[in-house]
Amino acid sequence: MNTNFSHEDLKVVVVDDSDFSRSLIIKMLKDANFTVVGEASSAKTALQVIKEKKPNVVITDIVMPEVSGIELTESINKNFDNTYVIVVSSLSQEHIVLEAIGAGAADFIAKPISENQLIDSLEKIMSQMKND
Amino acid sequence: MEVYDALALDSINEIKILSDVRLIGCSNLSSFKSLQNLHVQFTLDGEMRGKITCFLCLDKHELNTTDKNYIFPLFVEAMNILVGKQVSQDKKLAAFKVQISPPRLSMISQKVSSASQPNIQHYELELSGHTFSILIEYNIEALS
Repeated sequence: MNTNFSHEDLKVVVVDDSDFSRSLIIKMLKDANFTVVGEASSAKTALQVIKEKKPNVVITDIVMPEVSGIELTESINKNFDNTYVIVVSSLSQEHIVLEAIGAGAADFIAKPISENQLIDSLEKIMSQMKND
Repeated sequence: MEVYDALALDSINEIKILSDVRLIGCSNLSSFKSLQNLHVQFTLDGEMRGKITCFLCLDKHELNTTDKNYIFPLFVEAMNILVGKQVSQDKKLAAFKVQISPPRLSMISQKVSSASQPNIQHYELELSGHTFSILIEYNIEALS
């Protein structure tokens, strides 16, 4: 059990097919001293990055070509223990939020993402990790 | 299937995309026309089907490559956020289960006008002291 997590101890991978959105999230994470260990523009690439980098948290968009962020979340939960997923999306209909949580997401953030929301969500995960 | 010929989703007053970037709804009824533009299109599927096309009007703007590299991705992301919010929050349509495609960008200008087009909304994208007009055309049908 690690009871002394700091922001920089948290390894994060960011998945979004939009370069702009991905860069924005990565900048927010770096500004808050989280450790970004990888990024991907598709779910398929993300799975390779996750396997290699073993992040604590994956932040993923939902709407992506070929494989959606929901399917990616299911796959992460099935194949990678101890990896939390935060789903982000411009769509925030109730059924989509429920679908994300049902797939195993630890949290859902509606776009546009604020830095405070993102930090709050990651800190909740850090608290959970302390209890794991 | 019930078809809404001229359906516009509820207009949104304002969205702050970044600290210095705002998207503002224009409620004035004066028509707006554009000949020089690019557009991004979202395809809706599920219980609500159709296309939402967002035009970035460049008629009064001369952009260099640096400007384009900043503004175009920002425009696409702003439209992604706007359309997602509209579909999620619209009073008539929020209950529909809908999937939205990734945005498809086209650099080919089209003649577009909001005159007598109730399914077109006018927004302004304010960034770094510049203002760009945006027209959004909704062609949507929904399962009754």
